[in-house]
Amino acid sequence: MSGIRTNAAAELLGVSPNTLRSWERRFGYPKPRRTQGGHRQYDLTELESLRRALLETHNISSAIELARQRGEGPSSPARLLDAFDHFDEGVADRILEESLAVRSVERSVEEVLLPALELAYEREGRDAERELGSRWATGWLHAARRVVAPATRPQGVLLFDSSPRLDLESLHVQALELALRRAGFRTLLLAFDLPPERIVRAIRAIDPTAFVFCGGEATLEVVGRLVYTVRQVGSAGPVFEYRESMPVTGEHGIPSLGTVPSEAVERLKAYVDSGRLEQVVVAPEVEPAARPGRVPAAANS
Amino acid sequence: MPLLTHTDDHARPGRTRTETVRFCSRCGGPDDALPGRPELRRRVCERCGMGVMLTAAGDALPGSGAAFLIVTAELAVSAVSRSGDKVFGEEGELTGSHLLAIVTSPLGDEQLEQHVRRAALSRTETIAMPVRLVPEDAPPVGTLSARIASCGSPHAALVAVEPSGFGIR
Ligand SMILES: [Zn+2]
Repeated sequence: MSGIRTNAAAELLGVSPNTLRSWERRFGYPKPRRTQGGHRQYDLTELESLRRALLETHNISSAIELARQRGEGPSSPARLLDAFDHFDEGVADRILEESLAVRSVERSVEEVLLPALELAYEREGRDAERELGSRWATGWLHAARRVVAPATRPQGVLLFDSSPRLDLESLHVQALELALRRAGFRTLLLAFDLPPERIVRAIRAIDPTAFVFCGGEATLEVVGRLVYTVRQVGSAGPVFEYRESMPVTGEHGIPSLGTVPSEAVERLKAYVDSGRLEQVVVAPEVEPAARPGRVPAAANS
Repeated sequence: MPLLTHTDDHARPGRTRTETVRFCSRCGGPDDALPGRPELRRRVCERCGMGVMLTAAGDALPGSGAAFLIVTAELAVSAVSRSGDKVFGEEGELTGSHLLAIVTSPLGDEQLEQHVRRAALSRTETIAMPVRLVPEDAPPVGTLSARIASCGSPHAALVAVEPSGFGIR
């Protein structure tokens, strides 16, 4: 995700950080999003647009108006958030369409859609706007998934999602699913709490090369049970986690695919293409939940 | 604070044609960048953060803090200096307005239009001509002397006013 800190953003525009903040107070632009630590993060496309507009106009408010009108980012997270705030799904669709004219699907998801949702989820008291954004994004990701070409790689990936419905993490997981499919993997996304017998049928059908735990709500017990089931079926595919979804990290944790879809795809490709997957076949040592505090699946050493 | 800045003697129109001045479109303040180091020049005014730095002939402004308009070749106002707010009206309200909705000239609007358009289109000598404020509710400043000069970028006309001695209307 492209986020520029205040000092760098100010430098890019040739102004002081104070000036940048005063524009935000006065004009609401450029509009940074906030990190969890409360730091401003500016959108690069917005800054670029403003930098150009400043060269084409004679005063600051005109430059800001021009940059806004051009809407560059052809689709900034701030604009998408604004569409949620106006409950305008049509505008939200258009912003993503504009983004797709200048960015790939992956970058549109990572630089516009997900950051806008993160902004929406950070705010207090805007539950209705957040829900609209979440539902709209779910629909958008589904629609994008439907038009993905058939898988081009022989490898299958099974994602176990532990996130609550309409949760931000659930959208991150859907974005990962879309990216994996677009990268040519045969991909299946399942809820982590499905009964084992149903998972068994899915595993037999797609014969996954890798399993990914995502969603952030998995308990050790459930993870253990899932891994046990996977190994019982005879699948030797390694287990990964995504976006720190595992209850255990560290030495006994399982390898991470990172925190954004493109990163996850690259890591998965690297594992697959390096052939190292063949060496990562380890059966679970123990019955699930028999050793509390450890993930029995630490199968990929 | 006086509404209008008086002319510095050395900055009379036609006097310092060869020199240029870099000034803020909002506060009118000069550029603080090191002379001869254009790479250190910033687009946005470091003093007020609300204007962009423009260049004009050295005799185009009656002084820093002058009341002026920046006008495009289409005669649309594209900036008003902070001192200009008190004479012409707020920048936010005037941006995009036609020049002749704000000032008129006893010498004829045709001539005023012609000078401003020419200054906005090409680099011209700074000229001075009398102007009056058009709106009914404008401050009673009488006939003003307007310096009309080229400035930019982007290319535009600078219309800076000062008391003319022609008296209150
Ligand atoms: Zn200034």
